[in-house]
Amino acid sequence: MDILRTENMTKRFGGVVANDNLSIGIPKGQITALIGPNGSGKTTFINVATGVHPITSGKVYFKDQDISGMDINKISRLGIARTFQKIRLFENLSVIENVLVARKPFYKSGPMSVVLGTPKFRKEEKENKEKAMELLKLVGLEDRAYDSPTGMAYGLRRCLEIARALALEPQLMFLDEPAAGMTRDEFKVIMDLMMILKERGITILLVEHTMDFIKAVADWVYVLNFGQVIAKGKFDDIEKDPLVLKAYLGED
Amino acid sequence: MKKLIFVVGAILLIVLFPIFTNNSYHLYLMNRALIHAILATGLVFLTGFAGQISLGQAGFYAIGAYTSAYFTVKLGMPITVGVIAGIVISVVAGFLLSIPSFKLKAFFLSLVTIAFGQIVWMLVINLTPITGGPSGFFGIPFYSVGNNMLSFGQVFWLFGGLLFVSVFIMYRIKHSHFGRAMLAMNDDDVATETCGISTKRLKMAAFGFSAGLAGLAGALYAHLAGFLSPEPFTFFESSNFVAMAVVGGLRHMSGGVVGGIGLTLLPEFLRFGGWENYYLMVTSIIVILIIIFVPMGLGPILESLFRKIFRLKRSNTKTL
Ligand SMILES: Nc1ncnc2c1ncn2[C@@H]1O[C@H](COP(=O)(O)OP(=O)(O)OP(=O)(O)O)[C@@H](O)[C@H]1O
Ligand SMILES: [Mg+2]
Repeated sequence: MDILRTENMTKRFGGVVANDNLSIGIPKGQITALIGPNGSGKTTFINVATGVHPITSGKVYFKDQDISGMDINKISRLGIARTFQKIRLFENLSVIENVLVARKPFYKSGPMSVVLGTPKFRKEEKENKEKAMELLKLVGLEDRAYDSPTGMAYGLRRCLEIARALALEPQLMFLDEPAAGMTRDEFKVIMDLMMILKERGITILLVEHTMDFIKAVADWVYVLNFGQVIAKGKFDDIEKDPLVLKAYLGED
Repeated sequence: MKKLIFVVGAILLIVLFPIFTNNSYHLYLMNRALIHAILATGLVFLTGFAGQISLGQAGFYAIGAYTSAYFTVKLGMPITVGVIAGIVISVVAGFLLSIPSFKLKAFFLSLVTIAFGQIVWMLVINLTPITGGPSGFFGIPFYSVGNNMLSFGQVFWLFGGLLFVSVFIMYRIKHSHFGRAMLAMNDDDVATETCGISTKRLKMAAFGFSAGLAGLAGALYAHLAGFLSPEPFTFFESSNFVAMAVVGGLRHMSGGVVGGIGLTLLPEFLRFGGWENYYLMVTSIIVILIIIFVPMGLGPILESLFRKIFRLKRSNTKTL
């Protein structure tokens, strides 16, 4: 079953057709890779699916619910989390606060309970801090919880962004080049992390350029070129597809 | 918690003020300073925490002032009811002014807020049946309990209490999921939305809160002054309020208190022999120098002094 699917999803930026009539299904509980040359529309796909960019035409369904045109925050609350190709953290907040921001949808206390400091609110705050700490442990950041993320190593910042996405308790996660610019060790950490998430039943859509990574983790691969799907299937089949080779190598 | 101790300490210092003076002009001035501190605190919340701009706070200040004046004088309500009505109507206006902020940022948003201030100002001048227009609104009742008028000193404590409550509410909100979401929004709207947070609602709340405090300040002013004319509600005053928040420290809990009181009293200190003609100019120059050389504002400086005295540590967390 597909947890998310698009129907003729099209996204235009002026004259550029970044996503051209995409009908893509993301199978539940698996790791799907979305690959393609630079500018082929991978990030745009994520941006449209998560509501960051309004869709030009077509539909996006999450668990058979039409989410095209929904506000970003509503889509996120349905259980769709994401990271960004260019990491976007809250630099003015500490590491643990970054994760706690994404716990906000789980708080029930209103402004009145907050101002009065009711036991219910204190309990909620404590529980969510514990939850955030758990996630920081998962990505290996528990020692940095009260540090500022600014100036942290790139790999750690990426891990924090993933922890923040996980704080939403998502069913589906979009990861836009999570391993780009990472050292070999950091790379391994991200790869292991993805397998853990998969075991936990989280569906993942992974945009990635490193073929070894995709070969190791992806159950299913879509290949984009100029905003269109040019191939889909298991990695081993895709690898030999002449259209894919042509797109990547740029041959005629 | 440590920050709260700091704020309480700072407020306590001021609380002692009326005991040391009987000069009613000084007390009146201090009362104005507290009113400005309440208003500037709202701006610190709006701009420093939530990242939104308003160069139209004098509009809310006017709404609070004229609403409370109208309710007490024309409708014969008690001052408490007038003040609450002033706050409520300001908050509603704040909600409305937040709508443009859903789409606009920085420069464009500040233009809209300036326009809002101008609209309110035009209403103050032209809606003469309600506001008295340029000739003014007279006979606004002064603070009293039963038949006893309060002294300026007692009013000072009343205002001080309200300022404390305002800062306390802001403190509690900041150190909660709401405050975290606002600071996050200040950094990155889109990333905040992807955390499942409606930035529209946050912006509404932030504008509403700052408008509420400005409305409260305006209502308090109306009953302190006893009459209203359009002058204190011009664009000049709006920018003065922003200057207070900036000088005090936009991102600091005490920013509104320090800036509001500081910039109200500063011109008075400069009003000495032979310099009367220049004191406003000198005030402005000092503001410029503070903004250039102490961009964080004076609040953080006072706080670090306080930390040194009491040997407290700083932390990276802002909302825990
Ligand atoms: N916000 C935008 N405004 C205008 N054009 C855009 C915008 N975002 C993407 N595009 C264009 O859409 C096309 C697809 O871009 P996209 O970022 O989706 O590619 P990508 O597959 O993620 O590439 P990369 O591998 O380099 O990250 C490109 O031509 C790009 O210039
Ligand atoms: Mg991309």
